[in-house]
Amino acid sequence: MLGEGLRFNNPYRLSHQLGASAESLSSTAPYLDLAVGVTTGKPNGVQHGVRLAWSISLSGVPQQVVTPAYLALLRLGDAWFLYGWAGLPLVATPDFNMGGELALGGTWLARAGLGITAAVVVDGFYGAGTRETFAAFYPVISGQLGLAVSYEVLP
Amino acid sequence: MSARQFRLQSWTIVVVVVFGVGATVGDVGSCGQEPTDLDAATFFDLKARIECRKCADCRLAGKLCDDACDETALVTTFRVGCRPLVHDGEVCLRKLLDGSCDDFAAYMDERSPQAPSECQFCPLP
Repeated sequence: MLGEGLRFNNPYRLSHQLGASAESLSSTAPYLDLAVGVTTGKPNGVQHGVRLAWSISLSGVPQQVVTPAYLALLRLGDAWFLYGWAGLPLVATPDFNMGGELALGGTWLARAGLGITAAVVVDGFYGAGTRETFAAFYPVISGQLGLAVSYEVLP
Repeated sequence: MSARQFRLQSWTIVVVVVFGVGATVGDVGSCGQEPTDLDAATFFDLKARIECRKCADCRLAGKLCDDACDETALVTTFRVGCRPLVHDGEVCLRKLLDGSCDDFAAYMDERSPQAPSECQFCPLP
């Protein structure tokens, strides 16, 4: 269960370089992400709620990110739902930072409350300054795959 | 909200565990960290301390390890034309701190020492 993530700017030559130079296209470290989301609304309509995620890098320099987000969810029949979120990733280590995040994903429920989920996530961060710019901008696009546990309550 | 509308509401709780790459952007520093020149003496002193400790921890030996542990052999200037920033030094030192013993064996190899890309901030002469 691994995805691929690409960083489109890399002035500090962070691992792992994919392009011709260390400053060009690079892949980020794999991470483990644990998220909890709660939504409410019509069972068969768009539901709105909140999501809180904690991400930890699995290789390279240790890094933890906490992301509070607005979450929207749409059920498509009994076995599928689509979801998306807009959040503010807070980088806790090694230096504090805050970015922006948009994502779109889907879940297939193999059992009543257990499914496989996948999402495409777009992040943007402003990092330390360089000689060319006061704050270097890091766009990152990534894919992720995992497990989802869903619990629905009908009052 | 009427009783009928209330019945049409539902709560969905989703817990997700995901493996992926991307959301942990890497050691990009803090927004607002100004581009300040890196002090060579401080950088090489810290780098030598890390290398010396790693040589001991990983039981490596050789001239590069000896140099790292020799406080009288410290370099105090960067190469001509090399003007790294403080964050250049930070990403390099953190990468060295985080390196495994296998990584460090490559960094301290006598014949062809490698350097992580994070530490390659000086242009080749």
